[in-house]
Amino acid sequence: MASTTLHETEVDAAAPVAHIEHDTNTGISNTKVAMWLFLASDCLLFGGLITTFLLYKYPLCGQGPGPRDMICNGELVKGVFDIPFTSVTSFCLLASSLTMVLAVSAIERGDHHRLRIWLGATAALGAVFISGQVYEFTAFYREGLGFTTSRFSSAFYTLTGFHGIHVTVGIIMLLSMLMWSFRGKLPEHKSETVEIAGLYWHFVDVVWIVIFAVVYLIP
Amino acid sequence: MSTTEQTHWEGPVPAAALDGAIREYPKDKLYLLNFAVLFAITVVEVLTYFLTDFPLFRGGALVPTLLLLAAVKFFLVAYIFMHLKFDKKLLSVVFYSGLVLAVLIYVAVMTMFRLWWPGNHMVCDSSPQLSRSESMVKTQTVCPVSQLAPEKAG
Repeated sequence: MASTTLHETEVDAAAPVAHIEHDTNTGISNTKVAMWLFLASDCLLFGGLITTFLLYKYPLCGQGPGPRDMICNGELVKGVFDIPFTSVTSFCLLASSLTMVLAVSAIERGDHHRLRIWLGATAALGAVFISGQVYEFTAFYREGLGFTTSRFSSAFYTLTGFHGIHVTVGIIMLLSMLMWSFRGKLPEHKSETVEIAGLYWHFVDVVWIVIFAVVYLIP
Repeated sequence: MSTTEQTHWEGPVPAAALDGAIREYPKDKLYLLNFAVLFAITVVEVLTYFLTDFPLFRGGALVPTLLLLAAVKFFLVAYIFMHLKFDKKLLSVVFYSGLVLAVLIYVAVMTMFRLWWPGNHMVCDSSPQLSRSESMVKTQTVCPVSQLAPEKAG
């Protein structure tokens, strides 16, 4: 079949953005549709966690610090959020979206050298973000905010922790692809693998865009 | 088109050859431009924390401003970086349907918890007229400094 031949073999060298390796009713590969469906459903997960956080944003009196400075029974309780620090880690995650899309672009052009550079940069920026989150959690804990300290702390750690797990999974995916690339197991005709991992990574970024605004910046 | 012609095909691929999956070949320049816009919006977001006297960054204008900026960033990442601009519309429908459904469900949940107006145990205010029951008054003892009336904050 002519179309099958086009997508499976000859198209790789000269038509690097053609991904579909099998016939589908939609004209989009099943893997890609599945990833988008997963991302749409993941919106529900994070929507639920963000809503829970909004409901429990302020801890009850005597249950440790809250996100920002509060008055508790007439006394000032200092908030735990460090906005300048979180802003820097947010910039790192945002920049990782650029390096991720450049990695996708590189493999679609067949440029494996740049693919490795951008994949490595994306993983490194993700690692900086996760390191920042670990530091932040540690600092909060030292300030008396454990997971069960208050309804605020439980909601906050659950929300940002789930996001951190997503980022960590993304880093593992990126490092796996980097390893495949070095071993020559990531040719141009498998560029969709990088693109789908990229979709996941960008989703992690857009979720953080919402978390950063709603959780950290809105008082 | 013969197989030989396909082998020597160079440059961006016509949409017809992609089953309509991608309408045009995305350029790195577009990605860089998109990132510059995202970076600038993030700077404005962070400035809302520091420039509290700026009219758009205080009072009732702050929350809509931040939500709008976040929505623009969300859309730009999804549209350009996630290739919704270039991919088939079906993917946009799938993603935005999930997103809109999620937002509607959680707006409903927050409405159930009466998050939009004062008088519930989640909203900070220790003033008696905003409390609907005695039990709520007992729990309303925590207030962010920024939400206190001037005499209380002092």
